[in-house]
Amino acid sequence: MAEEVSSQMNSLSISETNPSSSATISLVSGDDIVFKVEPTIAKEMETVQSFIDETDGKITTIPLPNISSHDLPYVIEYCEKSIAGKITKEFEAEFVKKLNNEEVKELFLAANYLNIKKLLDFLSQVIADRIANKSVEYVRRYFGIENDFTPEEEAKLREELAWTFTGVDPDDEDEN
Amino acid sequence: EEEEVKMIMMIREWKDIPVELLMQILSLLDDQTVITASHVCHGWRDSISFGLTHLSLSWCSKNMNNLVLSLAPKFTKLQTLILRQDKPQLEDNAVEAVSKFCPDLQVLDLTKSFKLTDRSLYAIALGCCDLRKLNISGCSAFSDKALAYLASLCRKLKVLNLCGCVKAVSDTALQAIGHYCNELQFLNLGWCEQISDVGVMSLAYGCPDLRTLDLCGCVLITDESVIALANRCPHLRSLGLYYCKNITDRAMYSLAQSKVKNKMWGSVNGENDEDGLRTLNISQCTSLTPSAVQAVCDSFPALHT
Repeated sequence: MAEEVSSQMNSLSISETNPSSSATISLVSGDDIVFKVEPTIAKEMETVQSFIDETDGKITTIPLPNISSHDLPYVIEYCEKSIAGKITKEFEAEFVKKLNNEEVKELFLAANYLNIKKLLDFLSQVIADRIANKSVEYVRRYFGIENDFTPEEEAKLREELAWTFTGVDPDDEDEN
Repeated sequence: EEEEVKMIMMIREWKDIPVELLMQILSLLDDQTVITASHVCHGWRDSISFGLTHLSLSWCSKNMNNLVLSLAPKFTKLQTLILRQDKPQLEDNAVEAVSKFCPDLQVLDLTKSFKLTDRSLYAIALGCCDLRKLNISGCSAFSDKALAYLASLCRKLKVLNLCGCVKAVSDTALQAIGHYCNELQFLNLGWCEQISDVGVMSLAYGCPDLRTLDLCGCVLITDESVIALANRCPHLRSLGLYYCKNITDRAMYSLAQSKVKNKMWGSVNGENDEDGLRTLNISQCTSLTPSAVQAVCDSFPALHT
């Protein structure tokens, strides 16, 4: 495993100039970009930390094949704020403003994979806010899911939905 | 390692999102959006069927009956189901569906289901033996025979709200509760006017763990009920005696003394004694004298009356 990774790194030819590099952790994104982070950052990522612990700290280069170099900086930024104790409502609001739907979903999966509970909780709330009180069609579109119900099943679901959403607004229909 | 990578690749398809991840998001949403989510695709429907343990339909002011009939067969892992109503909607067939499909139910709230009959209680008794909390306050049509039957089968009940179940709550029903539901901690018998000391004493003897008992408006009960509770229920923290006009100073002194007895009993068992009355409602108990009430207050410094 270790050889594999270091050869991969050589092929990337990303130069090492940081003198305190022995202390840093290298995170390798799915598209083979290396991100140097402080060990304290790695601690925020339970999956990474347990990998380091399992190898007694000998391995400091961690491949993260499921996370792209586009998403990883966001994750690192959030973890940096977290260890600095600077996760505020304002920061989170700014953070989420930068993200489109696709990025929110990808970061949610990344947070789950890396086991960063705070980020996962935060993004769960972001996704929940974006699908709250939306139609089934909207939710399908949001997640890129195809409707796989048969027309018969759909008819039953439509009825169920009608029961769910009438009576919420008392002006919907006249009371007998 | 390879295995793990494969697992993660699967998650990239949102229709295959693991149950716990989907439920983490849905736990932040209202019940209507949860129902919407169960219509997204088969995968989500099955995940929600498997993962959903808590559902409230109290917002549904129309069609609650149809909705319960439609959802109960899908959401079979429910542990908590809240079906409070302002206008009565639920009918027996919906409760029967719940009892049939949701055997894990532990908390069921049927507040103000005026239309339900004994058929519902029999169904719950047979289908939901795991019930810990049942609220049927305001369900005035149930009979005491059906309630006694339910007590004989739902023996894990800890919380039972029978406020206003005027027909159902008789001495016979309370005897059944005292006999079978020995883990009961909270019982509301408000305005169940036909019960007497016979019923309350069977509770006191059968439910030693009782912490909260509301007897407000139970006009027939006398000091004997309170004395039995004082002697038999060392954990009693809250007692409602509003409008119990027969209650006299004797009842108050028995409560005041129970503190001393329980303390001895508690120290024998090495318990850290957190017990003792905190709440006592004695307004409209017109026979009580200030000195008797003062005696209770002196025994229980934490008490609010």
